Amino acid sequence: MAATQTMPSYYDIDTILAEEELIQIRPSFPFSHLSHLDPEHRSRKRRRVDKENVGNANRGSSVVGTAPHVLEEGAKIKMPMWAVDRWVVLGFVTVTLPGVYGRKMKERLQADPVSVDLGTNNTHYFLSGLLLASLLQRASQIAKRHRSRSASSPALQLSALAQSLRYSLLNAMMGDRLRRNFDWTLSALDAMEDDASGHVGRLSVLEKLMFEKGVESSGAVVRWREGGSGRIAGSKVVVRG
Amino acid sequence: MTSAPPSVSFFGNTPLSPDRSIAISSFLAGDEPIAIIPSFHHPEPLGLISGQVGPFRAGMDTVVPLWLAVMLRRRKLAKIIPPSWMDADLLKEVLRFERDPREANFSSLLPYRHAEIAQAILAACRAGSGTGASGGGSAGDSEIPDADRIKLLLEDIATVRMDKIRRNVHTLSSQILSRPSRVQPIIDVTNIGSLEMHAVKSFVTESFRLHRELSGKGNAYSQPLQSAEGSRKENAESRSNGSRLDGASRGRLRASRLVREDDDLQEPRPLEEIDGDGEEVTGHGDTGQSRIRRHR
Repeated sequence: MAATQTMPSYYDIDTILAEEELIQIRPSFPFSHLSHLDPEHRSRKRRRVDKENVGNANRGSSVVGTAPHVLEEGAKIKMPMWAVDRWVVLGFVTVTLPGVYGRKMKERLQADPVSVDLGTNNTHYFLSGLLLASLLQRASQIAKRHRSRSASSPALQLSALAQSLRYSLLNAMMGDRLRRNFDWTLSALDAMEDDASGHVGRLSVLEKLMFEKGVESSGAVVRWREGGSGRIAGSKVVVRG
Repeated sequence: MTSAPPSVSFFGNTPLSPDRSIAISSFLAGDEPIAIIPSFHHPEPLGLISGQVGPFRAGMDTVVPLWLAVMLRRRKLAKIIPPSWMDADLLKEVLRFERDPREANFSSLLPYRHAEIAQAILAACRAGSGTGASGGGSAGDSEIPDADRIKLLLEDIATVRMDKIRRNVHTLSSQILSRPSRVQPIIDVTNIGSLEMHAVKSFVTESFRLHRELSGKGNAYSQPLQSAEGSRKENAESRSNGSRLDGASRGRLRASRLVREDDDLQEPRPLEEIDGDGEEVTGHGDTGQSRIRRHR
């Protein structure tokens, strides 16, 4: 029971939305019948055919095309995290972190973490990052298990990437942002002149969850101080039963 | 999103809302023993679930649970003798202690459920609202003469202690939470009040949970890693040994998977076991002094 309580629900809408984060991947080998995933496939194919035609015309031979509908090795494609989960774990593709977890955002979060607005465009910033780090960690463990020591550099790379992502998320979330969030949870209900909506608007989903829990608790204490608890009402289950 | 951990363990694993947790805490405060001076005579002791109380002799003090004291006081059958800590001078001393930046702990002079007890007594004596003695009719001479002062002092103490908790959380965040570490952060909140704990518990436990997840030690957002070889072996084993071994083999695999995945996961040891290797981090600076221990 306790173990299941820590697990997010299968139907948890925030986790589902966070898994929609687009990740840039590159296939490690050609994928048959998946060329439609590559938006530049047609133009690339056209260029190649033109080049081959020019070459063949020079040599005076007929056109011999490559295999159709093949997603080429090393092609850059963007896919949602939930869709590439197995491919990443099995090492079929190499992953590049989304730009939002790049250096620029890290620097912004280091310089002034409180003022960064994650509530508008990057609502699932921490949750997506957490899921991505977990995915990379799993991929690194699998890679470590299936390769010899000498050839474990992909595993090390994946592990380092996951660690670096975790560290930057931890640093951004549990520092100034957490402190400001905690202060607001204690004072959101007391201070009539302060409006918490500006602060809440800048929070990501996980931070908002913490804020709501904190405000609920401090609000319960304020309500108790003002009016006591009165009678403990019976549970709805008991009343219905 | 995720369901909250149970607020009160003896109610099973049912998650409780903060309102209900505080109501339960307030209810449990009703069992605290308190002295009363009854104005009636009842020679037989009363048999309660918690034990026997009484006998009651008019003018002779006796100890009863708080709920009974409040009930008798409301019916004007007894006077409550306020506990020793409900004294203005002592509360002033407590306030001075709590305001002292050198003192990291909370004052030990106040009991765990002091807020609930004080509220129940002051409400029963109808003395805390300022109308005090005049509202009581026959109980004009209130048991707590400086009730308004006591009430204000208790409010001040609550404010100062909440600020101390806030500073402790700030120190914790800046020193431990914002970086990955193998040690489990612990805030020393010895002598914290029940109400103060309820006010910060949800936020702090949620932030600890997320810290654990972000440090790679949690399992709420990571899917179980299935070994193809392991599952094949498990299937073969279960086929050969029959279905009775299914649960056991699954359990073994689950355990071994945990060992593989969480090599660096170490459970914090209880305080008693740690003498030498528990390093203590003391924050000096504008945040005052907080005691945060790191446990290996």
